[in-house]
Amino acid sequence: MKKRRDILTIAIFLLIIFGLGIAFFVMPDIANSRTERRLMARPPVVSAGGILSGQTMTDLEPYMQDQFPARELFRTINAMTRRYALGQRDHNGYFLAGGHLSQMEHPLNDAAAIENARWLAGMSHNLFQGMNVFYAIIPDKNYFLAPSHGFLHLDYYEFMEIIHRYMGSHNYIDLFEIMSLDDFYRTDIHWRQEALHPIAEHIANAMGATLPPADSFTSHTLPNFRGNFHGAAALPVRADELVFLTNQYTENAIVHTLMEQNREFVFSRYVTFQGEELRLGVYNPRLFEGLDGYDMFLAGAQAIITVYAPNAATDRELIIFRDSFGSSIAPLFLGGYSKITLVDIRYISSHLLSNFIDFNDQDILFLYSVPILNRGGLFR
Amino acid sequence: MLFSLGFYFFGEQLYTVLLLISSISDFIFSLLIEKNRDKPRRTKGLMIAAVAVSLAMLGFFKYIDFFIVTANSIFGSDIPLTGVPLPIGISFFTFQTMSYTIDVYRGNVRAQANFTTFATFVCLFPQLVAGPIVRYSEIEVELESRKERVGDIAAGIRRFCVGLAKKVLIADSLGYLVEIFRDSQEQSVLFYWLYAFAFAGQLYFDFSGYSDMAIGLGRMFGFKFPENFNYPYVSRSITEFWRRWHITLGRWFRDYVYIPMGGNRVKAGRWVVNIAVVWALTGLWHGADWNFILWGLMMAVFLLMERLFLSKLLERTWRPLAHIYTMFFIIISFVLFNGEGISGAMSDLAGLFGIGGIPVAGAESIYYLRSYGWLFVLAIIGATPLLKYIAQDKLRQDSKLRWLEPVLVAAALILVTANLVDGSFNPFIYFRF
Repeated sequence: MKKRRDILTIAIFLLIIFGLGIAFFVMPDIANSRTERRLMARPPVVSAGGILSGQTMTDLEPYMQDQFPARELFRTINAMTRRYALGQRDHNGYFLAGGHLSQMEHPLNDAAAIENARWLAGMSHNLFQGMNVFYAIIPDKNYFLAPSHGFLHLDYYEFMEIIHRYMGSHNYIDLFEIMSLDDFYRTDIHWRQEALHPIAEHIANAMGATLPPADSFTSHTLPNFRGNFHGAAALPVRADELVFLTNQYTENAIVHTLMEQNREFVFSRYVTFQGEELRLGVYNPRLFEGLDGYDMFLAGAQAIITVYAPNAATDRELIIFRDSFGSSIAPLFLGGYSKITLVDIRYISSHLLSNFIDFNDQDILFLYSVPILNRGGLFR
Repeated sequence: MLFSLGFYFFGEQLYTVLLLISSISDFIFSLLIEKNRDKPRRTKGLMIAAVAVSLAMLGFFKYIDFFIVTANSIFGSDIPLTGVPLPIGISFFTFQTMSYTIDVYRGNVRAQANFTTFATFVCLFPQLVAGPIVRYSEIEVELESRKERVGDIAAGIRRFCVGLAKKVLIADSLGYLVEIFRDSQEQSVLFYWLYAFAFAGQLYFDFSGYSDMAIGLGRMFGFKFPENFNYPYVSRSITEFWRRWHITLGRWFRDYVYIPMGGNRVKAGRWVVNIAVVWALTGLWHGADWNFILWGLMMAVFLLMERLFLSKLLERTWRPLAHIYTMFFIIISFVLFNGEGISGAMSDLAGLFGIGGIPVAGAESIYYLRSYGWLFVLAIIGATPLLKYIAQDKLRQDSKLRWLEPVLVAAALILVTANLVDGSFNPFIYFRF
């Protein structure tokens, strides 16, 4: 009996060790990970020099970890063990509460908040003299989730005090009071476009613009949207749907993005995706298949992107200094504005903006989420 | 031997040469000692030379920058640091080779004439990097001929899996809490104590986990390595703790430093000096900084006090109180051990007692107490013989439950794999574009 049990123990041990080893060698390498939004490690270069210097061994470890068989399954097993067996409330800062996945935003980085608010105020002072300048801060979903579920969170009151102190006399548009947890995807950090019309209207009213009514939009659904927290938390949570809203302005919009071509910066109507040249639209469903589905809104990370609404019954223009949240709300402003320029000063130096944008009498909106302003060194 | 060298080479390319030099040096010196057995002065000289080579290697690679920093601070000099990296496992393999040569000199073992066999003893991969410190005499027979039996292989697998789970599932998780504490801006008494408990747990489960893995791997290949830990956190005195903690290091210092210095068969004053020297060296073995030496001396003070009067008092004391006394001072000592230099250690110790007017608790410490509560409970249970008792006396005696053993081995391997794979998760924070 004891011998049979021992043989079974040895067999299971060998099966797991060698089974995983064989699977590792047999299974093809994965080029990139959607859950981590990055390229996966490639096999190390095996050479005498690499072996003697240890570089081959150094490179081998991340490669083996990245290409480990059933990697996502193992990650889920670990996340569930931590949560359900060990009772850990978060896993590497990610947590599940109230049906939402989120990441703890903590603690308040007051130095970063001061630096960012000063940066924006300074830029406004230098570039937007005499123009209507507004700022709105987008609360992260933890504002609604963390305090009530006992997770660590920022001191939002102090955070906003800092921002207001350094943003001085600019017009503040409060979003904290009109937003709720339902405005966010369950598996992603971002807000849902289908929930944004009241928020866009609130902002537009403060700026004195009139937007197309909510019933002018048609909803389109892209299923199976697994947001950035979905992969990060590795917990088995149902995927979201990504809904986007179209109307006559979004359908007829002309979109240009600033890009480098032959060492020159030019505005282009095309982006390259997986080797294919795509004509830019307000919505780009092909990009939904990329590493981050949220990129389908105005092609994701872009330094400067301009959206023209040729059929708008106004000549008002809006410039939004923004982070990723701006991509999904900007389309809702079309019609209320004939041209919207989105600027991301993490990808272009604010000193170069005058080369590409003619600042005259546009409305200026600083629209940033809390997690961005709570981090230092991002703005250029 | 080749496999062991390859294992070491995987982590330490250049220093594999050092491992070979250490092996060659003690191999040759021991043969010369054996050859000159009838010339006591010569054998003593050869033994001292062999030990000097080992100590020189250890001194240079582990302690040179500590010596330079100390000299610079004493003499106001400006000698630049070497920045020489610490070879993996040097504290272990130099102690093994020294013990071998001294044992040959003492006539406790015969010098090994086959270099491959001797180098296998030095480089043996299961215990090469983290112990236990195995003596040649303990595996002399197995180095020459050993049998791999099914029962031993299975037992080795079980022990290896237990060690792996202790290291990866418990020690690394507690280590993560230690990192959180170090990165946090919150300073509160509760957080300092959480840190202290987490570090004490991390240290035990990490080190004893490695020892379990080494012992288990050794057993799979037919070696029987000595035990290194025996549930030290159930001790009722510091003296008992040191009989249960890093056993192979304790007996090394006892047999090769303390007893040769005269042990306790000397005058009281000299005995105190002997204890102090041994424990200062024990501290220094753990790390090249003054807080390790201070930690060793703190242990010496407690051992002396217990030997002089405290142990009798502890024997009469209510048992839980003796446990609390032991754990309290052991945890305090580990805070000193893990401090960032003397000043960092003193600051941590002050934090434990709220010196400096820090609050009792804060949002973070309360959060992490709740989040890590179960892990602490599991760690406390795992630090006692309870699970071993259940496994040996209950599971294996029950004809049905005993089949759980292979299932538990599989579960441990899967959970450990899951943890290690998840450890490679490295999200590119794209949403912050």
